[in-house]
Amino acid sequence: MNDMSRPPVAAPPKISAEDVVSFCDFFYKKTGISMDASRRYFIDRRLEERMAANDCKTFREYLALVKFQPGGGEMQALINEMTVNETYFFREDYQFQCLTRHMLDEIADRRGNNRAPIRIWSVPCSTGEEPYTIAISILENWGRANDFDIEILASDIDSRVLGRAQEGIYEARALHRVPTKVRDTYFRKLDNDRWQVIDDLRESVDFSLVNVCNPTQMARMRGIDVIFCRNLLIYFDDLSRRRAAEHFYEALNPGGFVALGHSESMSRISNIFNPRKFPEAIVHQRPVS
Amino acid sequence: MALLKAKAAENVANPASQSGVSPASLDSDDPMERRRAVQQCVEEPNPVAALLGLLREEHENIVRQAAFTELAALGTSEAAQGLAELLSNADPALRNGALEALVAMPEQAMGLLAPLAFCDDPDVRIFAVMMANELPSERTADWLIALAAKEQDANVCSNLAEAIGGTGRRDALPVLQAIIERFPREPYLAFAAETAMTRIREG
Repeated sequence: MNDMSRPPVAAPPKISAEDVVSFCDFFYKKTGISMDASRRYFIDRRLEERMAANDCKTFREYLALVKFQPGGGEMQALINEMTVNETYFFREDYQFQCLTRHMLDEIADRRGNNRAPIRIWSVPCSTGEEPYTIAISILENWGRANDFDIEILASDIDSRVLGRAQEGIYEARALHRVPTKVRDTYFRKLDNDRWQVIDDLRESVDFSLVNVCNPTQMARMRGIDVIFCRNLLIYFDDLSRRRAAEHFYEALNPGGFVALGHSESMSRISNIFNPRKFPEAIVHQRPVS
Repeated sequence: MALLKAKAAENVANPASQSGVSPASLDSDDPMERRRAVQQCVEEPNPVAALLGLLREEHENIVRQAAFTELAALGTSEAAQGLAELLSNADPALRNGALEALVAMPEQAMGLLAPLAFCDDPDVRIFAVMMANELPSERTADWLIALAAKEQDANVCSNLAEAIGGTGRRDALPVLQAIIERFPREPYLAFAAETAMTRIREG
């Protein structure tokens, strides 16, 4: 068969600059995530994939599907494509040291005789490395762990990563900072390059789909003692950051803590938290009273 | 193992979702309830006036911040104008809150820069410069340079020099040099302007 006789290859659907601006605006309103229209290649590629998957010939047709599809399945698929999920165990581990050396003791001391569970929330939890790291850090490094019930909640806006998080299977490179003894205690080897978190640990973390800009979903999150929200707010604009910070305030118990990513600063977002400087990290505390 | 499964979405104590449907009162002694009342204000016929009025009466930071966030979320020119008026309020917390809320509504805030440049109060002009500094764009850089070319207050010029240094605009160099010459008895201002010029040249 010569070139002339080949069937024509379908060109990818065309997405104009106006389409991208319109999409960024829509995506922001739905998720609070500010997509920069200058990242055309990233956005176009993912939109084209979703349009092809739904057999949409034009961007307008696809946007109508996303907006009006009953059940919102395509909106979720789009969110899954547009969000970045790259992490590993014990990433920026100084914050977990801060948790087990200081924050948890403060929370436990404030509890007094009240033995309500200590509740820790990892958001976004991506594929689960962070909430499992939190669980392992507590079990390994907090001497009072057996005196309290501890609940670890883990949420993400991306439903696909939540499935992977619950499955708890990781390539060896995700475990490169995990000490051998810890790895052998909390993981089982599946094959040469894959490890799975042990069942007890996987079953102790509660994974859920949450958009931190959605007031209805955030209203379910209450009575939290520590929130790890690292490297999420950098994708938000000022207003969405403020909104998220206020949702966190309401989700936290008085005296509860928020840990942000190392390049993020709560003082540039909102003054409703008090900065707390510990030897390992600066975190942000809801005032006790 | 000390870890328990929480079933977050279903089992976590849920006062807010229940209280979300009941009306909260601005007269409550509980700041969290007043805060919730503020969040419900947006459903009222004239939320901007209600929120601005509340900001002048309320002293609890957590309630005020909710009002600022709601005003920023409304994003109207009326909200922006009301916030701009707070920039000259005697209460520094209100001034700072208004500035932060304006930064969170960039389109409306940029529209305010031109009139704020003519405000008689140099403190308000300083806030306007700080606001422009948080809204980096060619348009705000133009505004900063234009204001620096005519500004007669040394403290405003000091803030302008710092903000202009971050724009990287070489056409600002003569304006910064003019600031040094305009205030020969203010060595700190010469230092600020020279630092800005160095940043631009090295940038």
